[in-house]
Amino acid sequence: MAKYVGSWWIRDGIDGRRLEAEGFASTLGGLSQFDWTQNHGESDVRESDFVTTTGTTQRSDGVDAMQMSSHGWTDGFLVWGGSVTTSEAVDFGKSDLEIFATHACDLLEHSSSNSVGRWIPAFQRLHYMLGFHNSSYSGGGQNSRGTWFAMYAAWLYYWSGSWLFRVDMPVREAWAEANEIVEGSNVQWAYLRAESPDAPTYNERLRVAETTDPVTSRSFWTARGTC
Amino acid sequence: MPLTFKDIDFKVELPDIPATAPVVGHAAPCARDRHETTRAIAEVLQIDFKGTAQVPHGYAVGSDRGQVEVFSASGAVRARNAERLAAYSDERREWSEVERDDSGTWRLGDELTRHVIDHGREILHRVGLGDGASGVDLSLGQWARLDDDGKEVDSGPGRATVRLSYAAEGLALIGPGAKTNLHFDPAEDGRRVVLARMFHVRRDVAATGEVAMQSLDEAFAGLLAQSWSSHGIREGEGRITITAATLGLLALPADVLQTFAAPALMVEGQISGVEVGKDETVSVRFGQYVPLAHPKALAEAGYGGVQLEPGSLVRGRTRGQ
Repeated sequence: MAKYVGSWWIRDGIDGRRLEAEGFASTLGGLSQFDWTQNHGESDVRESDFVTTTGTTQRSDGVDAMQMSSHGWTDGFLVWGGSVTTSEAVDFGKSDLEIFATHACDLLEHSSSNSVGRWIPAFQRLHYMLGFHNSSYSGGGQNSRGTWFAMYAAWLYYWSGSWLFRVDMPVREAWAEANEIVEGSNVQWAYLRAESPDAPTYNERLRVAETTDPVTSRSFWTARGTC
Repeated sequence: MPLTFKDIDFKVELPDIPATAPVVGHAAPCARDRHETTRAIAEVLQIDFKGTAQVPHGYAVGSDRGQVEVFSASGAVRARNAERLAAYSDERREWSEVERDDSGTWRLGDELTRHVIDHGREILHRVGLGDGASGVDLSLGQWARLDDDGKEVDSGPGRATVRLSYAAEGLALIGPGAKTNLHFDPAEDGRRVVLARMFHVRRDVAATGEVAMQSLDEAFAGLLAQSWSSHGIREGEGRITITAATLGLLALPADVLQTFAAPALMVEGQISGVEVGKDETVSVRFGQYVPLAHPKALAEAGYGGVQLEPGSLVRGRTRGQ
């Protein structure tokens, strides 16, 4: 069964932000192992896609993995007409979403005075939040971030040259390698992941079919490194 | 109401912006020049050669065990030992000499830092990369383990990266397209190191010129024009705070065919007063490259033209119309 992927984007004057998110989903959508089923831009990026809202289908849960382009800060990110913050009932993966990736600045900052644990209540069945410890950049060729993430996470495993070699790397390494191409070394990629004894996620691959979700006896790991 | 230059607070001292600044031209890379380098990198990473394949961004050699990729747009080289990338069961790395500073950041000891950097330089010498770097340092990855309540229960150092930076015509090359990174894991004794992956991008300088700079008002116009949210900025509350500003020549990502690098400011900061609902505003963070050379001045100096971004729609007349 194909994995479903999606893209959410707000341009704010820079079309590269759309390309970032769509590049992830369209690259994977070209493989038979994935379906690009959700693409939401500008006014179609809603708070209810991430926050439990009575009478509304949470569309982020219609995919297994998604990439989003939007402005952010340590405690939240923007949606059209509003924001999604850690003080709200944010739910990632009530039924399906496993990978949430975004360039939103500083979203995963972790320091002695501001723990990234502020995002843990948002983890339902989610495996990974992928983002940045500090500010990511726009306006200097970051358009292909999502394409590279998809390439290293799955495309170069299934590609037509796979008879020669397959690039097989964990999702966290794919995020690091993608951002190393599009960001300067002053930028630090980061992630927050959940795991449980029956659901180790450190070496999880995006390409692999549905894995067990970490939902009980969980611990959380955050890491960051230079781009 | 759009913001103006008067709405910007500079919390850092801006670098001196000269009236004119250098621009450097790049020659198209020759992929054949990388043949020996790819062989040498494969040897260092203990990657066996099964063959060479064309990939969307150039070509790659190697096998399932690891690959060396060459980017045709820039001549950049990326390589990994895929087995080493998945050799650990979690983020922990056992280094022999580590310390934690007052901010909680883990660092390698001075002697071990020097040892890792020296080893990185030896590798670069063997593979024929890294000449002419303007700076070198070591960046240590950080990890922390949290319980279900978000409390940090453990932390430590991760992978160590030897980083080289570059300059041209007296200006730093800023952005993603001029750097060398060697990513090391510790060997069993915690002192020797094992290369897990690497990335190198640096375009050759083929020509140099000089261009007139824009005023700061003009340079920041693009940043000021953004609306930040669908509601925009609340009138009277919008402020942009600049917390970092670096002057340099902007080097674009390795997958871009860049013919010249022009002066730019690399700025970070936050904008307050971003309206997200009735009576509600937030402050969002940003990082942005601000071009300093006027497009007309660049064109007059022979560096004109625009980049056609992937995914752009090209509209033209049908033949005969």
